[in-house]
Amino acid sequence: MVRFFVLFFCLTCSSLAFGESKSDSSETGELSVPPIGDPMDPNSKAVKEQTQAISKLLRCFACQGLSVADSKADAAMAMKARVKELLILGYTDEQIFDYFIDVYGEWIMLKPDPKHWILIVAPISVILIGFGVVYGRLKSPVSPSSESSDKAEEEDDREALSDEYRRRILAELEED
Amino acid sequence: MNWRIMGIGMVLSFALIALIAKGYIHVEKAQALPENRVGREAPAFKLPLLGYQAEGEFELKSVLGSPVVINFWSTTCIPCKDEHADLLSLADVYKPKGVVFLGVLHPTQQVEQEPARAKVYLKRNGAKYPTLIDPKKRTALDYGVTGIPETYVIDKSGMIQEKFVGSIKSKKSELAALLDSLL
Repeated sequence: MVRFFVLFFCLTCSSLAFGESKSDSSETGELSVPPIGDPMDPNSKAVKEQTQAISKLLRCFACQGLSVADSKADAAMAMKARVKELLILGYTDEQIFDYFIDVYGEWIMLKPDPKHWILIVAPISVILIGFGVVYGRLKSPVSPSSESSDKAEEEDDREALSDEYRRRILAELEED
Repeated sequence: MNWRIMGIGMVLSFALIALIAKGYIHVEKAQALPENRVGREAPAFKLPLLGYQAEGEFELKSVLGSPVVINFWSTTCIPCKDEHADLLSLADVYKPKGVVFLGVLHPTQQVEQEPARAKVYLKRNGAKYPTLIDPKKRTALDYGVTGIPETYVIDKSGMIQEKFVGSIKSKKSELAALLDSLL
């Protein structure tokens, strides 16, 4: 009888222990952070729509400039499946984006974070301003002061040349 | 018109345009991106074995405490075939020293037929370490794999020390030196 109770006690304890042990995250697909949203029904329309919406914002790394939603590439399908899996587990859109950014960097987002737009806009603006300045200089009429200074320079050059010629002619005459 | 200033302006503008163009081209190539995972903890995984030499499942957790080399490959990838002999020779040298070598099948085409093809390939070309199957490609995504082959080196504490993109044929001595430093 005592043996029976000992056996029963052991079995109860072991079943409780196994029942309470949480399955490994590498098996369930959970991230290192717990989900903060509500788990979604895998067969619901909502999970399908949400997967599509998130996939539209993620870049397919195996394709050129296509979103995960628009690509049929194997990598895109795997990413889409991962998005769906994370939604079902209760991860929010933000958590899913953070996961992909964490692995692949900001590059994975098709729409860059607004805080980085300055990096794109600034150099293009500098180039446009530069071209604008050059165009303005080319189009603007030559000012009288610069014209007169140009003429003075030309006069000086001519005088310098004529002096040189005079010197050479005199030298040649002397030789004769 | 001051041609010198205009010339300098043009040269600077073209240099700037070239710089921006280079940036855009660089960003388009996923494999050229800075590796986000290096220096961080290796994502855990539990994957089924291919069943060529052993059956069952393999968990990364079970080998933590040893340096680990994980090679993502497939039978349809030419650079993977190119590096196979080098991986085998590295395994010959470093497995007895305690380094764990793992292959993870990461097919990009005809996914269903890949395990059978891999078994034939390994029988023909040799296998000195277990190959795992990543059916949902979750492990590849967690590691940030963008193409194959890619080889990750994990140290004894479970941190990713290096990622080799492409065939390791030309980087074999680099990988060997890294493994020496991790022992």
